[in-house]
Amino acid sequence: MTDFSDRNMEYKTRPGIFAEKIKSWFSTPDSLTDSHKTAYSLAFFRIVFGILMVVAEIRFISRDWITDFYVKPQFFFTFFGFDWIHPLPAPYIYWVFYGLVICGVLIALGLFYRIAIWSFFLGFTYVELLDKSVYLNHYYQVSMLAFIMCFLPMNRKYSLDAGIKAHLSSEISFPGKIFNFLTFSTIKSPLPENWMLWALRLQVGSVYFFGGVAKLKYDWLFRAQPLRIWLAANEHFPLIGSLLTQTWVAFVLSWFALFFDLTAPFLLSFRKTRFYIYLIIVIFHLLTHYLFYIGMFPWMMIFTALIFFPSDFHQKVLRFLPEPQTSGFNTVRASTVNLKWLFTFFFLFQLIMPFRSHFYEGNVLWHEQGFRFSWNIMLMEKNASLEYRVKVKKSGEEFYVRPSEFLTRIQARQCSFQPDMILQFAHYLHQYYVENGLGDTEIRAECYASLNGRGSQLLIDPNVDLTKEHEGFMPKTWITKLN
Amino acid sequence: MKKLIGIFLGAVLLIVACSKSSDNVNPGGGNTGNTFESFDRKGMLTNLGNNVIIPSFDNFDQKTALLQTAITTYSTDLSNEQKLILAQSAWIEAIKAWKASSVFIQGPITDKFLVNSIDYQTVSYDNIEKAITEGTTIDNAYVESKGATVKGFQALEYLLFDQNKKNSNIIGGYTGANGAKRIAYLKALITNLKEKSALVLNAWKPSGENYVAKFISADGRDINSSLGVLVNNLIQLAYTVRDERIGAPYGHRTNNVPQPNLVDGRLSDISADLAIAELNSIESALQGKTATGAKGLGIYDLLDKLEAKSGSDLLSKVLSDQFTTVYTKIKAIPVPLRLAVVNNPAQVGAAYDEVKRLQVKLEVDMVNNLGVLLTFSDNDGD
Repeated sequence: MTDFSDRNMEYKTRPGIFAEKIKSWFSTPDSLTDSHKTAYSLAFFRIVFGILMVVAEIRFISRDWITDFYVKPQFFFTFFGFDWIHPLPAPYIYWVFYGLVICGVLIALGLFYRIAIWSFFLGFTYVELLDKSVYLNHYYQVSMLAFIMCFLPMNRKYSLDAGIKAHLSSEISFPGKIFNFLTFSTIKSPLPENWMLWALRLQVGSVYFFGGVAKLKYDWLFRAQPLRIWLAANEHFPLIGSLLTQTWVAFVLSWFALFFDLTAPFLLSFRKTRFYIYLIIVIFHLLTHYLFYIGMFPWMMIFTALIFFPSDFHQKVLRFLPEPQTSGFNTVRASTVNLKWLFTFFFLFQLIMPFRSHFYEGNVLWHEQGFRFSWNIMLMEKNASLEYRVKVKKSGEEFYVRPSEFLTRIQARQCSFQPDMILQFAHYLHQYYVENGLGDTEIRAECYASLNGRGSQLLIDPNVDLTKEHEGFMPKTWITKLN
Repeated sequence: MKKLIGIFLGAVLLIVACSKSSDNVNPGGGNTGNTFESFDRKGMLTNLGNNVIIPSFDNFDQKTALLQTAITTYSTDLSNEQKLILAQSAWIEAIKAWKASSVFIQGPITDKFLVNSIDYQTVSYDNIEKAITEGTTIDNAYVESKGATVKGFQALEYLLFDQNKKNSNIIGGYTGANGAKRIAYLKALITNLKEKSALVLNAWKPSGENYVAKFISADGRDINSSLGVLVNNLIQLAYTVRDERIGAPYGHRTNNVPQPNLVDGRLSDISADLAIAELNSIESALQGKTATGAKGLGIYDLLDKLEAKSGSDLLSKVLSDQFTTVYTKIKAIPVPLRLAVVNNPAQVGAAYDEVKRLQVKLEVDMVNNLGVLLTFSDNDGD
């Protein structure tokens, strides 16, 4: 362990070397020494991620959100293209969450890592795809990080896998083979390479960077909205409460958050600025934790951002933990070219996703086309009053329906101002009336919405029969223009 | 890095300068006279608690006491129509006082499940008659043991009012076959109601259970905060006025076939007054004052502090104007509402539309500016 402690990982992040890195992207593997160091960083991230997920899932279970989100609703707002995904009935849906907790523990311990991370990724993504009403940017981030981690050898150090492997005499014995498969430690598994850290850093950093890009909007920059509304609502906050009601404070914080988000990943990448920006990260997220009700998000960002620190730092932290005796590395190196291609495409996709809302005309906060999976974090205070006008074709009879008669409170609120959900629910109503003998209906939405302190206006064209409109990525012409 | 900081500071200064100057142009005015230099939400809750809510329930309790006195007086002189009429007007005053405080159901009324024993819309006249004939010892305890369909204001209305304004029918009931039981039941009903009004008042008062202290201290913005709950109830009540008080009898739920029996105050024929009283209670929270009280901090002031607008006007003004419009439209409906829904649907429809406009402005425009959380006490990120 001491053979490389005199060297510093820092040189890798100097701009010149960085350019070289890109050049050698598909050719040069790291030296074995570097690989050792990277292994500590990967282990560090694995443990942090595992613990965060255990806490997050236990929190989710203990608040009985499984019941509220996945058992009580009679209708689920599926994602376009994923309407084949349904929640398991109780009690099995609970087991999914218990399973996620167990996976989290296994990930942290580094036991059966490969199967644990894949199960976690699939399980978590499954849950996330069940209902749009509970979509959160940071759940998306969890899925993306877990996906990346599925392909990386993160259990080389500080893992029970490595410890057990050291005790298995032969790698060609049957239990040895099974174990190798389960733990992602077959001869063919790749050695830790420095670019793997950058894959994780890129994913963590993109939340900040794209979160910053998403703030480049009129409301955020020139109306200090929605911060102005939200900060003023925190007047009860000790010491700074009365400051928070001041307009100029909302402006200062809006612009500060913008610059912070846009620069954080870069400042984290440079040795000179790393410590200071991390300090700001901690303060920033703690502030958001106390001011806004955003649960796990600040903690996740505070801890995952540590991946930007050098391997020496990770190794020092890990020394507080007992390290299982390991057999050391295989010197046989599996090719990572395929992996590199995979991640190239993955990050290209990540690069395009946040900008897809620009294919649609108008304010994305209003029409919400391309809004999700784009790091539109904390950008809007939006409220609406939604009713459906139902016309029975047979009798010509007309009546009004409020979604709250069919949906849970959280679903009704989310549905009220998100056009794609308004459409989905109209289709559900149509189906509901067919099944209940009322027959074919025309369904129109009367939806008044307010965005970031603007006066209310119609969100959906009240003359359009939504039963005739289709879900999909085509521009939704039945959404009104924001005045 | 230095450049970045420079740009950042420059931008901050620029914005501070701009926002200051815009402050001078528009000093937050509004319909309050801008007497509050720095707004505080706790101050608003303090005012609402002490100067709006407690006085409202105090009024409710006093008017209920007067109703009790009037009923007691009438009970000693059952064939005296004059005394019956006094009891009827006392009932009208009492229920109006209740409606005028009915937005403040958070805390004691909700915790003690009192709404239904005070004002239960689907009261059953058959069940009341049964409760009277079946009763052996008819007293407060007997009423207390019964369900919501046979007590509260609506039951009292049934025992005090005749829909055809024939007081002789009412008097006949008390002087007829089961008269003794009937008057005992009436007295038990008002005793029970008075007990409830006292309970509510005492629960709020600092000298009693002091709920007002809790109300003032929950000054956050989560769903359990005082403002959060109040705003939720306020929207709910606006919707109730729209949908139940006017929409349902108008036939809004039944393909425009009027349902006269669904009006509130269906025997006393004061449906419109009751709806107005309910809207008054919403307005009192917004204005920070009771109908007779002095002006203090209310939700309007909070909106003004935020310079909340609807179009080019301050939202508080738009809301306040909308209340005026709604009152005008409701008063334009020929009394009683139960006949108007059949004979004058245009006027009822016009009132309905304005109440709907008001409800949307409260539910959407107002909530959008308050930044209170209405679905969750906590969530998991954004």
